[in-house]
Amino acid sequence: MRIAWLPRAGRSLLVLIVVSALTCQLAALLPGDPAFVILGDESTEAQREALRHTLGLDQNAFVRFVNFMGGVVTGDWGTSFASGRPVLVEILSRVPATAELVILSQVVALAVAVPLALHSARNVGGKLDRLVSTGTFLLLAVPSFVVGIITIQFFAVQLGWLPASGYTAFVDDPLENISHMVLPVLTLGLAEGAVYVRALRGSAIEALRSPYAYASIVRGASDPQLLWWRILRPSSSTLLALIGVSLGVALGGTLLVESLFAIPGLGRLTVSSLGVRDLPMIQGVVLFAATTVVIFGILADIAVSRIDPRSKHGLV
Amino acid sequence: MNTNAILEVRDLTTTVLRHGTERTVVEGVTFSLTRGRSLGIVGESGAGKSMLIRSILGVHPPGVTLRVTGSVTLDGHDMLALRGRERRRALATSVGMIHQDPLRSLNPTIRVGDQLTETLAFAGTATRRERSRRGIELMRSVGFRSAESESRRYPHELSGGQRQRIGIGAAALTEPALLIGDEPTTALDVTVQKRVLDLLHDTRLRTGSSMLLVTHDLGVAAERCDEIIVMRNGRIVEAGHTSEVIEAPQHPYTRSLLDSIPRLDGPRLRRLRTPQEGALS
Amino acid sequence: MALSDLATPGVAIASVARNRIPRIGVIVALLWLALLAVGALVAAAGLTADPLTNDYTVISQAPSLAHPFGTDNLGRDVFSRSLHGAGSSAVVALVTVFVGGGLGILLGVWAGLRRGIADAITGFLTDVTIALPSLIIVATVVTLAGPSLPTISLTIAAFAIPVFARLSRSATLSIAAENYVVAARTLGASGWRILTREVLPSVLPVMMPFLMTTLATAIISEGALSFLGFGLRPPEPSWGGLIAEGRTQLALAPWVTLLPALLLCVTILAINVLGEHLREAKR
Ligand SMILES: Nc1ncnc2c1ncn2[C@@H]1O[C@H](COP(=O)(O)OP(=O)(O)OP(=O)(O)O)[C@@H](O)[C@H]1O
Ligand SMILES: [Mg+2]
Repeated sequence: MRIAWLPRAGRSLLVLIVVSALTCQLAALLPGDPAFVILGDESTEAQREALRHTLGLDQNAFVRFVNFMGGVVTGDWGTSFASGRPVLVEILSRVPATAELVILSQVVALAVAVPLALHSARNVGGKLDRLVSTGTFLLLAVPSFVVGIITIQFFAVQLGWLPASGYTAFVDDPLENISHMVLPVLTLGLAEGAVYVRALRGSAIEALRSPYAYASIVRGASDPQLLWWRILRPSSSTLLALIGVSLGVALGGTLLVESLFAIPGLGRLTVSSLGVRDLPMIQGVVLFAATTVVIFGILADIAVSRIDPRSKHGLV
Repeated sequence: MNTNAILEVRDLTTTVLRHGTERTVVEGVTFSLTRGRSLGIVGESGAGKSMLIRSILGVHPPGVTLRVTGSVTLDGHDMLALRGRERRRALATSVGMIHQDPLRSLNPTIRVGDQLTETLAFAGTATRRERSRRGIELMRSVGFRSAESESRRYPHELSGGQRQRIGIGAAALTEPALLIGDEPTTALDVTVQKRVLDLLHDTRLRTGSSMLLVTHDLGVAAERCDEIIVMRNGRIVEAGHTSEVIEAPQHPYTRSLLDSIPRLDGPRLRRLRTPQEGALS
Repeated sequence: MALSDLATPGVAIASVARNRIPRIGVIVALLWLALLAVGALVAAAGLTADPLTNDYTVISQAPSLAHPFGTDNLGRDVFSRSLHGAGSSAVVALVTVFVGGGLGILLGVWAGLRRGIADAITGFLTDVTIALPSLIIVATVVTLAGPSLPTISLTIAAFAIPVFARLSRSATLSIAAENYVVAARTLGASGWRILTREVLPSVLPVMMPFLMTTLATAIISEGALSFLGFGLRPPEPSWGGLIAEGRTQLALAPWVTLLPALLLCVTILAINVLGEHLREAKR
């Protein structure tokens, strides 16, 4: 890989430092007294003073930033107001549930989207293609929380096939775990899948119009050979970039789906921390989410450069 | 009916249907090509040359609705009737095609060695190792000196002439009965054009293939082909042996094409098919 | 999720194959949005049932002539609440497009014309914004600064700025290379004149389809925020809030959730149809 690695990594690091800086000034930047907002109007001045000290609000912005960064790199991300446990420990304990949800939904979305996109691109304007295009266009207009409500109502409440909410760890009871995962994975995967289908279909149509597709067909490629061996790879740059963004964003917490289905992941943690104004926890979650976005951005770049040899030379 | 014909095209008509309107892009084309001989198809841009080739092969641009009538017999196959596996096998074994744009007709994400032998991969008739051996062998035969390492390159890492040699190698892979070149040299430098045409000629001699050479350059057709068809607006306006067409053109359009090639009066025409000196590009 | 889309259109919008939108679709979409706008204005003028008044004589009633969308478990008129919700959504969407889009386009054009350090700063700001989890940040701001329509819409709008900046920057780059801008420069036209006379008139049409996309994402974002409970404070009506509130009564009174949800989806669809139409028209 001949991506200019050092600048790319350096820039990402700088982005994370700026994000940290913004995060630790979050409370100070907003109007009003955060101590008052957090503790409510029944708190005493002494309590508020103590909180301001914990949050570093009694120091100037620079000192606060240096302390915060020091903590971040040494693994001390502060202590949760709500649970009294270290923020980082709390975050990491929530990662498995979110990761399972996100990875499964990506797998499902891709397993459906890639074949649909390729085959509708091959028969562009045909029955399947029109169905897929119209279907995904309609789907894009339905926000995930609406999809979630409808799936719960239909599959859990009316048909009673699956539990409406809750979570069991896979190691505790694999079957129970899967049954709880089906609906949230479906909800999340549907939205992602619609976007993926449209993106991949577009690039595959372009690739199929190219002379190299003509050449491969004349050399006797069957439709599956043409699509999977020859079209998928040159068409997947946009898709990979989208996957990188989705993974990065979702691994930082899928707030809506986790709330809807009561899955104890990062998204739930975020929502409940916001509810009790657990500022150290919120700061930790923001930083963690930013980190996953940055990391998966880089991973997507690597994947693109792997899959499309031209990109190494800046040709695409 | 020419019993020794590799390609027999009868009354081939192709109509593009779009938004309820019809446009005939190939109209009543009839010709036959005798085994081992070469035929040039000449005409201005938009004359329907590429559409004619596509209609012969039955490989149409995506998203376009067409109606194709007439008959095409290629190496004994009834191309308009064949479907599925049989059609793919007929294409793979009887046809080798060289495309206009050597860069865009190579898949940017596949190593050139693998593209060279992809016909075998699609047919599933050779193992990976055999394919790579054949690929290297073939690359040598089209003039790559360090074929082992060059077969692992990607198309963008080769020069224009090198890419088109890959294209010729791929077309020759199965020693097909018919080589088709759709303006195989238009996208290349003038100096490279000649070498590529020579390589095509050598390859033909080696594989004993017949050739269909599409070009908008009557001079090239005159140099390289036994017979010539002149097309305009989807129809054949003139057809015959090269010498007849060049020396006694019947159609005014052919005459105007001839007039636009000043060098035909010069010494170039007399050097028809003399072997070229110098290494390939 | 929805908000994050705001930050990544570069990949999301590129090379997505277009739907062919029939003319009738465009007309219906326009009519729908016009109708909704009139409805929201009528509601805002107080001409519909009071969205906040409980009426215990008509609890959880199915849709009828008196209550087109039925009533909720406090006897409030869901139709009127939905129209008021439409008003809130419209405010958020329009603020995002005008403030976020306006500032973003100016920033992008500036970066594209000045290049150099301006360009580097804009690019870096974009990277930072994309890394930030927008939904969490907006929810945090709303939590700490208090939920009000200006706070919500301005914070959502802030996340649209870098996206517009990035897109209009590249549009500017391609336009600035064209002759008439170079000519205007050589003739000594002032920077402001080049901006308003030459560049903006060319950049804005390019941005139109994306402005529509932003309209839709802003509405979805506001919906998501309210749905999570970080939107306007109940009982103040908003689409996401209505949908969330109705969930508990879904089996008993599905209309309380489903009709506002339908309203939301159809509106997004109408906006997407117009966006798609503009995108096609451009080609
Ligand atoms: N994908 C397509 N869809 C619809 N019509 C097409 C398509 N490709 C070609 N045509 C039409 O078919 C006619 C013949 O085009 P064709 O490409 O065969 O010309 P040509 O002789 O090969 O020209 P050139 O020398 O430029 O390659 C043209 O009028 C063109 O408009
Ligand atoms: Mg052609």
